[in-house]
Amino acid sequence: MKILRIFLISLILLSCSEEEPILGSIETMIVTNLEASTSSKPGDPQSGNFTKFSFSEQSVVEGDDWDIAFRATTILVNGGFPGGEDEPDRTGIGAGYVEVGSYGSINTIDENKFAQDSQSLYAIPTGSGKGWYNYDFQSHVITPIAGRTLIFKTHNGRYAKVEIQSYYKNSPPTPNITSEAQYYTFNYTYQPNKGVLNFN
Amino acid sequence: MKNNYISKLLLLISFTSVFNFFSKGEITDSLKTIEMNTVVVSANKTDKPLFELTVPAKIITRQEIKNSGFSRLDEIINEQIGIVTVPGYGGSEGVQIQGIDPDYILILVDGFPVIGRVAGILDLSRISLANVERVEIIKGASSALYGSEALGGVINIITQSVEQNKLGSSTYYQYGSFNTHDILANIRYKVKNFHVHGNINYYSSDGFDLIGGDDQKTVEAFNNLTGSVGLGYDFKYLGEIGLGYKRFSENRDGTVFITSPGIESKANTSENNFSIKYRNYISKNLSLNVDFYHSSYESVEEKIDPNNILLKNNFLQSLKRTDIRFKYKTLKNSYITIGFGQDIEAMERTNIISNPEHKSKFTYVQYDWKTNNKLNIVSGLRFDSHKNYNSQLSPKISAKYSYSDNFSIKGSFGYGYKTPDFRQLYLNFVNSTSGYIVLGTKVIEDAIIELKETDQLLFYEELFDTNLLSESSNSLNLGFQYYINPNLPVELNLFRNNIYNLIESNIVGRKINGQTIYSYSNLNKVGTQGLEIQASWLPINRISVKGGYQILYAKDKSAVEDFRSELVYARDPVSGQSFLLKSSDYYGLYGRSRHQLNLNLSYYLNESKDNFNLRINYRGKFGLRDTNNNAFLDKYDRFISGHFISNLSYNKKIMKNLSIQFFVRNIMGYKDVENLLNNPGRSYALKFIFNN
Repeated sequence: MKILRIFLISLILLSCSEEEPILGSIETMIVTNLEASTSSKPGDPQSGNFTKFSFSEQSVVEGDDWDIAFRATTILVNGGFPGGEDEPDRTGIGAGYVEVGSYGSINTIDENKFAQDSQSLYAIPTGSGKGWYNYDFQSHVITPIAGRTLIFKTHNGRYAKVEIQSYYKNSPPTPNITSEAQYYTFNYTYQPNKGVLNFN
Repeated sequence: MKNNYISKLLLLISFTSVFNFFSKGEITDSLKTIEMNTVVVSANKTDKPLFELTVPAKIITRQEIKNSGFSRLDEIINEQIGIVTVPGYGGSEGVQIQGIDPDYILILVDGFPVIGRVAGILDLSRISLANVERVEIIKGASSALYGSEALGGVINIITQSVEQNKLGSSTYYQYGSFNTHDILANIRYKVKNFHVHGNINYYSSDGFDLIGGDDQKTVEAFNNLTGSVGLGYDFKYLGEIGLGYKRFSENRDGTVFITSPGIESKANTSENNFSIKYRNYISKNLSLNVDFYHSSYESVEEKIDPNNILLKNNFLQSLKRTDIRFKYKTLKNSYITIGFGQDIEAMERTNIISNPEHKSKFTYVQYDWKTNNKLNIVSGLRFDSHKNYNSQLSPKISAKYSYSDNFSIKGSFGYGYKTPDFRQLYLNFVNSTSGYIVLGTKVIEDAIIELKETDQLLFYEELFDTNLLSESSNSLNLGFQYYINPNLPVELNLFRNNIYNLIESNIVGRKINGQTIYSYSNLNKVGTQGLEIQASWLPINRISVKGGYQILYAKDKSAVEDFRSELVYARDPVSGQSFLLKSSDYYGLYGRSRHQLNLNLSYYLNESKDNFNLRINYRGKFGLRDTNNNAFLDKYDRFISGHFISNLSYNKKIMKNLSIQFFVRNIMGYKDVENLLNNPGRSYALKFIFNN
């Protein structure tokens, strides 16, 4: 009887240790010159494919496992409903919100702030001053607003924070109307552990 | 066209030169005439000596205009304390007073408003100084007398009147750098009760180029012609009547637009003003003034784009004004003024579909009360009723207390407003290159309905309030004047302006094709405040010194809130990282300098009033745009450096009727080719004057 109990307990303990989760490490990367061009001419309806990006893959992807997608100044999340032409299908539970604060100091994620893309409003709002960028009418330059960090939920429930550094190829320090636009340079930090709501 | 003008002018000059031999010299001013005795009309719409005024005012006298050698209004106004000129669209120059934008400063000529604001700014280089007697500048909200646009102040250009009973004339010819010609001919004749005068002024320049090697010049070549004629008759008991007509026309060879290079263009502007002024002293204590004014302004721009398509931009604005006022003198030298009138304003413009016409009626009352020898209180109230937007009640109260012979205090508090302009109400403008459309508040609802019916609308803010209110302000001025000795008056003025309901464009919707839809809303609040010190000194008979300094804070109130709420960050240019900004890091509005200094020195050589005149102007650093990614001007942004611009002139009388002047502008040749686009560097000019 006693031997059977010890045998059962050790069996349980053994199976428990095998199921102990392995914690992934947080990845911080810089992406440069991610091309996000539209195939339309200025003034025409925006069309063409979005450039899809995956945090876990650390690269541009073609399939349904994308987290965020770029086209011109619009950034989509992989969750919700399409709002315009030629958008990729939403295949995940992705969401996003804009947080105010310096990139390094934002380390916690607030689930209540997340929004998915909808027909009339994107999770990351478009329009000068409303999302991640400012458009200067006089110089015609798009600049990422200082102190705005984008928080994302990936297509499969992980989290990442993104700070956009430049909208122009090779990140010129003072872009002007002749700079090549629609090339993103951004930092991101990816939290690969499901359900962990911080970047520590 | 150019040759035609010049030959007609040369003919006129030779004609008037003959008359020069028959005219006597003009009245000479005594050097010691302190301008304090100069009569000012703008502060109260009636004559009042400068030293008695209850509101902050500055006069630019005929002598100062002559000494400076400037021929256009923007040039001389830029040297006044607390006033800067700011460049606008297509090379125009607007004026900024106490940190308030050119849109909110009313410009008058002999009491009549100058129209033709392109995108809000009135181009002061249109106004010739040729027959100007003086320029009166009243600071602070003055809508109690003048109605709309007098939010930041009023500039009234008073033209010369014909004083003497004879035939008089004067001409001048000036030649200067950039192939600049400036020619004036003036005739005046008075006999018994009748007088007539005529002026013609031709000005042309080749413009200049700050950055060579491209197709465009920084300022393109232009020429303009101003002609005016006036006559008057004194019917004695039936009153005096004066009629005036003035025409201005300007051609610019090509204008700098915000479009791609390689585009040819030209622009023509013209202005026609007609006025009738009637005055009658009905009794010893009662006078009547009836003024009628019709002004029309037209601007045509033609562009030939790279595809050889002709694009035309037309702008036509007209104003008809009637103003009737009675002035009654009560006991103890106090006055009551009651006035009323009507404005009819019309506009035709590319990108405005209808041809809107606005009618408004106004009435005003003013009480100038001298309670005793020491205290003078002036209070006024004006009511404007507009057919198309909210009516306005504009009060103002001001007072001057003379504590002693050499010390006085004055204070004023007033309300100002500016009605929404035709652009903000009726514009329908599509910018295809940048993908946005701007709709005025009166046309947007119909435009949205049309977009919905043609399935072009993605979304529109249904709660958008299309009822646009007038922009308004209240201003407070407190001044102290002290005569250290009879030749050294010092004046200190503190000011505060609160401007609210500022109209800004904002996003209200989006089309399916991605184009953003903008309209206008009353969004912003701005505060400007500061301090101004002026002094003038006559140390000895031959030298006069005038100087002034202003410190100015001009801030957007919602920006102040954002900074206080710790919402504003800036990007470090080296590390690329964003850091939080403190409240004290907010610098203020673009285009405003914290510090400004002006100095004017004259040295008279002899009794003929030959003189050297030196003006030193310092403009402190200011910001033109955000440079660290937060859309605000903060301490860490890049600023346009503070700089000195000094101008020197030498006036010499050669013969009884002939004098010459030599000028050097911007002696040190300071330039900033990237940021100061209206500054060509050092320039010279030589002027010959026949009896002026």
